[in-house]
Amino acid sequence: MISRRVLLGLVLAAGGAAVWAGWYRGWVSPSPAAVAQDAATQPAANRRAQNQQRQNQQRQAARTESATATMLEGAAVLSAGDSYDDFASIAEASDGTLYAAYAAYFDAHDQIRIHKRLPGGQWSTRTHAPLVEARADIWMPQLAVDARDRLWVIWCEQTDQTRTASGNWDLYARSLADDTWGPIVRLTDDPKPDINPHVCTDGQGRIHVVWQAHPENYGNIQYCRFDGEQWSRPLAVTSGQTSDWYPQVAVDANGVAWIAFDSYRQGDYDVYLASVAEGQARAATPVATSGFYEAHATVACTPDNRVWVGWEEGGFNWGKDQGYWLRREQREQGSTLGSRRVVRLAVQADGQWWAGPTLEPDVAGNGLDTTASPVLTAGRDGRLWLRYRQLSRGQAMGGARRVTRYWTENVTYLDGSKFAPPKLIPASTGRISVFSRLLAARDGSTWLAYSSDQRSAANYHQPVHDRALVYQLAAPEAAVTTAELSPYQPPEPPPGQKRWDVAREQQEIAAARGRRITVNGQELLIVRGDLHRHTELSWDVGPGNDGSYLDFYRYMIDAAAMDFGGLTDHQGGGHYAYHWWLTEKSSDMYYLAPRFVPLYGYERSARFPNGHRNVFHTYRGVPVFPFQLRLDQAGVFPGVGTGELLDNDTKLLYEYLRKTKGLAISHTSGTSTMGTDWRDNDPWVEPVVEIYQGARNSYEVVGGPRVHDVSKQAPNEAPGGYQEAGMVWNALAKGYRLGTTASSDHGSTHISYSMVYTPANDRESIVDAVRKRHTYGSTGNVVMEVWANGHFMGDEFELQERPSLTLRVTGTAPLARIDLVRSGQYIYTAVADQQETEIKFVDMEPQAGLNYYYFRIVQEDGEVAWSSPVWVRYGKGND
Amino acid sequence: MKQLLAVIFTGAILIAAVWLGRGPSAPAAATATGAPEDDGPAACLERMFAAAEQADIPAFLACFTGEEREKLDREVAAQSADTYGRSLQAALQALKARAVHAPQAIGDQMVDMRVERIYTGRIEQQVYRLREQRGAWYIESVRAYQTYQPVVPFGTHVSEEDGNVP
Repeated sequence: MISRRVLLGLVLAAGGAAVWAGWYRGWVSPSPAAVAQDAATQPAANRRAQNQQRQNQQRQAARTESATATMLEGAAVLSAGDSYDDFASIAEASDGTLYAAYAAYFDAHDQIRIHKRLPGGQWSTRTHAPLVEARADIWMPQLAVDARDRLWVIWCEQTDQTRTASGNWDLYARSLADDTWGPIVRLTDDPKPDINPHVCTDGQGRIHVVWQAHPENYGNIQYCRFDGEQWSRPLAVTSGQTSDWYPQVAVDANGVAWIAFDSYRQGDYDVYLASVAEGQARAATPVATSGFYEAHATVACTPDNRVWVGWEEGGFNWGKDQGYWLRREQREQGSTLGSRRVVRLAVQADGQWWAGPTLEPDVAGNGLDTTASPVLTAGRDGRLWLRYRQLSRGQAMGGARRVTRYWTENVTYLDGSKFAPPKLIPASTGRISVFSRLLAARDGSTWLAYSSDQRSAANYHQPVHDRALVYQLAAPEAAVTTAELSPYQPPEPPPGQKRWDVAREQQEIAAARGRRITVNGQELLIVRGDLHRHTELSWDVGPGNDGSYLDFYRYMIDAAAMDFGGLTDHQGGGHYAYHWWLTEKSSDMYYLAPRFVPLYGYERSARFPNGHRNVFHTYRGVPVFPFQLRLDQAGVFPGVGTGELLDNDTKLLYEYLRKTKGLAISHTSGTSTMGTDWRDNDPWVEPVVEIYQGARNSYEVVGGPRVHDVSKQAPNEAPGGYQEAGMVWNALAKGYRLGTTASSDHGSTHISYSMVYTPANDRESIVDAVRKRHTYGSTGNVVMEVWANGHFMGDEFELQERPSLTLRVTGTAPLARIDLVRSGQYIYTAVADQQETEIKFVDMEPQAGLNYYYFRIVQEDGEVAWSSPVWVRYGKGND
Repeated sequence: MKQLLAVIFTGAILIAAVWLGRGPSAPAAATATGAPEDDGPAACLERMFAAAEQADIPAFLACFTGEEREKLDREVAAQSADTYGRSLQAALQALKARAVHAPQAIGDQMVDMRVERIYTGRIEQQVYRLREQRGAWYIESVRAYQTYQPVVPFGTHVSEEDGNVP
């Protein structure tokens, strides 16, 4: 025990040392004695002047230190380092004063932080825009300056969310003038999400705002304007079931607001241009309508009365059939969500559409010929500027052999009839999903406000810290000339590829959505979902072929027309707090029930034998359950997967999910890398299994359809490896009650469906139905129902009579075969030739005790569906 | 004639098997748009199986119509009711399971129903034609059954099956 006297001495010594050290380093104020000495020797006026001077010097030193510390390769870093910053924006007042803002994720909520560029060129310490909620959840804040030099912040914010339901996303605006914030102006009040705004200011200082509204759960473009006195009510630029996305607006010299956006109205993403003049919206006209993915449109107006539209062009039949078995059979008909894309431009001039100049990205070094997310703006001199993201790839360092991908920020301008060599913006590595803003400044320069997660060459797949930056590009010396234009020609489809049969798919989906059954007095409908999707937030192959975390919603809502789903990046984006925040936030933002319901999800990749599982919750804010690592591990905490786990890692996961009412779904159970030997199961937490995934195989049973066949291919040729213990039949043989689902995983799209019979399409109902195993898995939009003596598939019950099962199925093609399995045995195999059928089966020799039965159908075109089993306890006193 | 009677007799056995093998009818709560039908031509088969199970020969015969009915009348007349009932029970002993497929419309008031009798190593398939008359369904004819080997025999365990299912 340390005596009180010794302890006191230690405290005093430490305090003295701290004071000395603080004084030496200028960390603490002068001592009272020093101040008294000053007072005794100097007149009061001098003291005040000196104090003022000292304070000024300290402030200036702080500014200089701040400015010096936050310059990064010529870019000014606005972030203080205590937050994750995104959605940088910039605006300019009439005297050339610049303001920059960004969304800052700090202490489990969002802030909008604003900086001003000081006369010396440094950026000020931040101020915060007061938002609707104290602990706000915001999206895409942007700045504008009106004709009276008031600084406006326009942002989306979620309000009225409850523990289990997403709230309402609306647009708000608030002005800052004379160091005083004005009142919050609510720009929208529709109960559905009003998101993805874009703001511009015209030559008269009027502020124009466009955004993506969802009044009927389909994206529509809306518009409003601030005329200097008041904000107008939202104007519907588009309406109906159009599914329009990401508008941008620019205003021409005549005051016409031109609005570019992309739309799924024709069954794939196309680019449209609409306009608003004198308060009236004019019908949208098509700009790019090929079978390629054409999205993320941008628009700019130059003084020569040209309207420039840019967009990114991605793969053909984007989001349609992609996956391992289709690839084996050369039946792929779609493009991955992250398929190669390039920026395209078109110009409207003299009432016609012309082709814009071709962008030639810098492919020296790590840069690839893949560009995206264009932003156009017209300079004060009429010059056209273009910002875009470029995909790059690098070899990870530190012994890792993985080739990793990342995106960078690039800016170029139109020099005559072609683009000037692009400028790679410093410190701009990061995701594709960065929404930067260009500003044509009054001095002729151009400013870019952007964000970056600062990933480095050591691990290009791994974010370090999201920060907001601004960068100034000097005015080009070359004179502005008018670009020569050639007629616009849409791209030719890839050889041998036809456009997707949208009408047929819509019929299949309508058949599934229209099906109703009644179980225990409750009417149920089928909802179609995908519970295993990755995006750029996954640290392994996400930035490659999986698209952005926002592309997930495009795919789910439009390309696959799913009813529900979950974004399941590894560990919610690698245990990186901001990725999980974006995951949960976006799940709220695209809550479009009953059209589409996102669950809060992530993949937890514990290697064999524990096994990978996808995890879901119905409410927001449950922390990602970390890996329960052994303490003999050194190095970085794993952001994707690991096998270095405590022995009871999975049981601890179940314990956590019971506390948080979570759901776990095992996947790729029959692989040697990701699978399991079924050592663990909790029937409440883990009631279903991903029996098939589009990225790889089925894991139903040896010899089953789309199961790896070791008689034809070596076990190690199976994607993810192969081990038989993980086949689902082994789990069923152990008595596990597992219903079936099918989902995608990396790269695969449109060939895996988790079908759930639920009373309503909301989070609680879906998860409750999954816990009842009222599910089936399918590789297509097959409609399937199985009854057993009045009970529905997934149920468990006792019987004294013979089991009588009824299968009712509507395929997407003629059926080839129907199998009925009873407790590890095939007891019925039918050769079918119809697309729709119903079979009533009676087991004349049921086995006493517990038996499970399930149906599997295979279509002539190879598509498969697996029902959930029913568990029948037959006879008395037997098990 | 004997062959025809055998066909009819087989059909009766099969229908009896369907009836005897059925579970309790689905509760009202489980019957709706998607639930198995409880009326229509399938109900005719159920009536006939109920009659067969009860050895209620008049009720059994009442499920048939036309020439089939006349032939069955002669079949029943040619033997005692006890003998007829014992034959039904004997035929049911070998069955492992049976499957009845959904009716396929042939005309406005006529359907075919495919029925499969599942044995350990074979499946016997037979098609019944039913006709609606004055609001009720009757069995009008029974085709000769066909036997085929199932792709996977009844009771095949996972470890016994070779090769991939197509």
